Amino acid sequence: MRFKGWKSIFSFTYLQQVKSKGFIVSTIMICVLIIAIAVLIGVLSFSGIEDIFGGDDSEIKGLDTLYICNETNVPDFDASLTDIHCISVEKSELEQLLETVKTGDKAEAVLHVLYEGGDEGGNVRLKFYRPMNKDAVSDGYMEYAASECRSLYKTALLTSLGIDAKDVKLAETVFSSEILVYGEELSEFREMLNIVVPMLFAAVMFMFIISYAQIIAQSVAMEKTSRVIELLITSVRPLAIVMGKVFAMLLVVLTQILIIGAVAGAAVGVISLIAMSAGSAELVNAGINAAQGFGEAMQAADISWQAEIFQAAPGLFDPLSIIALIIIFFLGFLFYALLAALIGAGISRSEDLATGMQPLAFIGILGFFLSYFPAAFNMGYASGGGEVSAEPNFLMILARYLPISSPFALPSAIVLGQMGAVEIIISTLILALLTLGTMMLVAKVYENIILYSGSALKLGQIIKMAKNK
Amino acid sequence: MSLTVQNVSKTYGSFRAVDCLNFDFGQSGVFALLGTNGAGKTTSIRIILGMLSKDSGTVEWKGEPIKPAQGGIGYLAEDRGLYPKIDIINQMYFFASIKGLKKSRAKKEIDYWFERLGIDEYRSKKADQLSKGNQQKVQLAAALIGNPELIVLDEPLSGLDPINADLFKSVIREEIAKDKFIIMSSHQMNIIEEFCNDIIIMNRGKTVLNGNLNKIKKEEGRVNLLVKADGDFMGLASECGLILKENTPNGVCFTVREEAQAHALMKKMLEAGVPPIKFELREPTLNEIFIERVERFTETEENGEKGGEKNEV
Repeated sequence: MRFKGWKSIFSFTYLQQVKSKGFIVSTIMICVLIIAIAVLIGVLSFSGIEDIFGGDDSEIKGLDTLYICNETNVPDFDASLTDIHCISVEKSELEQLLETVKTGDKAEAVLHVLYEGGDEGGNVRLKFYRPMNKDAVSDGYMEYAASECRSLYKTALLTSLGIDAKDVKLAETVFSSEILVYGEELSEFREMLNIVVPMLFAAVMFMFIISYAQIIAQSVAMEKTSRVIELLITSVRPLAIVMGKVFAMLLVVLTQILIIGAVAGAAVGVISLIAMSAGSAELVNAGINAAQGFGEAMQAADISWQAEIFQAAPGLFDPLSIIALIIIFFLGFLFYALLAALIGAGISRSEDLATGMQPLAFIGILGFFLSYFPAAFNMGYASGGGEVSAEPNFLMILARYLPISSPFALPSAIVLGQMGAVEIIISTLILALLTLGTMMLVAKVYENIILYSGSALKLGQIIKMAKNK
Repeated sequence: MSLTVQNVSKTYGSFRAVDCLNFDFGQSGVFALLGTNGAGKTTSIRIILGMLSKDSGTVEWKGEPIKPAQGGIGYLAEDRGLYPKIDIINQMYFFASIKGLKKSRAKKEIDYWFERLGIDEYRSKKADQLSKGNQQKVQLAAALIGNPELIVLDEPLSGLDPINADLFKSVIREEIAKDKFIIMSSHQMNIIEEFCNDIIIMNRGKTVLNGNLNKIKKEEGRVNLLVKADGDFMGLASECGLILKENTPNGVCFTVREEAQAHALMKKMLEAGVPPIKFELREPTLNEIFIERVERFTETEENGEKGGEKNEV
């Protein structure tokens, strides 16, 4: 009986919310943003690859001539660049040549190689001067040429020192260093996930939970200030009204997530299909090369792509983890939504809502910061290498157990498999207990404060009312 | 079937909003809940409707204690109670659904009330696009949908033009004819007099007067005398011990203690050759009773408080 009529409130709130301009506009905007990002990535992929590797001759502006002024002792450098006609020039000719290239429309550039430093060491600089007119040589091609020249110069240097071709290749091996704890090594991919996933989850959860809590507060306040509530509570208990409203908003959030997810999936799919159907040999080849390169890297690391994903984000493949994610989102949403409803019910004038919501917004932002920034700065500074630590720092652990931040921090920890089952249960229980406490507080005072008129009630006054009741 | 309110009290902190409210609304018709601003009418209505918990006392409808959100009650709040940005028709279906009406019955009733109240053309409009009067019509339809047996109308005619006021009155009459129990709160005493059998007047949370309106008026007696004549009769009135109440172009109004004073004045005027054009001895209006009782109550309260203060000193 206490909840009689909640279904009517639920269906009305849901339908009105999904039909509202706010919902439609925000959903469309997010979808458009996702599509725009997908298109942008597609366009950049096309243009970048075409710039570098060729394609339509009318658009790709390559380099016909490269004038090289080499002030270092490295010989035979000019003959190495096969695609481009290279001409060696003296330093005395340089200034005039630079002026000519700068103002000319020809596909030519100047490379000035010089040594900076003393006998005990210094730097070799390869300075590329391009025409002012960007139509003469495209940016992408200049980048490509610079990169090739850098590599060729290094090879020429080593060859000039009497090292044979095989040894040159060996000498060009890239060295890197890492400081690790045995058994807890992270690949670069996992390092990236360990930073990006917590930040992404915290931002998305915060956006949905706090923005919808705000909408709930507005809705409750509007019903109160317009006196609709007086008509409603002749037939439905206030608690049933607020629960119907909160659950309807939860469904609205899920609907929005579903729509956005579907659009994102479709956008990625369509862009992939366009890329495939465009039949751009360069693009497809580039994709294959990239995939091969990645595959080789994975092979070198003795790990497969699927295994890497599975190892990095085991929560995505575990049904229990997915259930835990849904429960945590539900509890977090309920916690913030009920508090927002309480605040909305405690105000008598709609203009007081912003002030009334400030403490809740502060709590939410604090929770978000606790989830967002410690993840971003979880570097192993002790190692001095700036590597991402496999171990969460103190603030990350705190964020996972503190109920104001756990709805934002827990999901990523579950997805990345950073928490054991017991830890997840403990953290969820703490959040559930606080949510239950909030529900009890709402049940105790909501029916009284919804008809209260006067200055906006503070959270402390509401708790006092609950104690006095 | 009746509504019984016994010893109902409600306190907010140290402020006693309703102090021992008692009445029995035993017969269908209109019961008036009157009072000055802040007298406790809205709190009383909310308690009667089960919206608000009471500190003590009982409220029974059809012999059963009234429960929160028990339904079967129509309520027209004093202020507009509509969602400003939602289509009227959707709001109506929603209000019907929380009253437990099935969609087919809701449609039938909505169609009837929209037609009856002349708001059919506004069904797809948003509430904030309607005039105050039309919003009030929608609210009345929302209150009456579901055919409630108990109806509470808080200032039903405030802000209405004479044509719409007349429409509301005719609807109220129809509901009375259907043996509905209607509690009406209004500051427009002429409307109350037009519809109500029983009244209760409240002031500062307390009951000032309670009972059948006709009986109250009879008990008050015919204390108002309105006289109009071509000649001067003020001296004659004074001789008869009449107290001047007000002098208007419509005539001179006196307060009489007993009807014999009026008869004496008539005799003297005829003897003096000043025959009255208008001579009306009548009961006090509800408005007069209200003002007189509330003022008397306030005076007594204040004297009591002063006495209390003196005693304390």
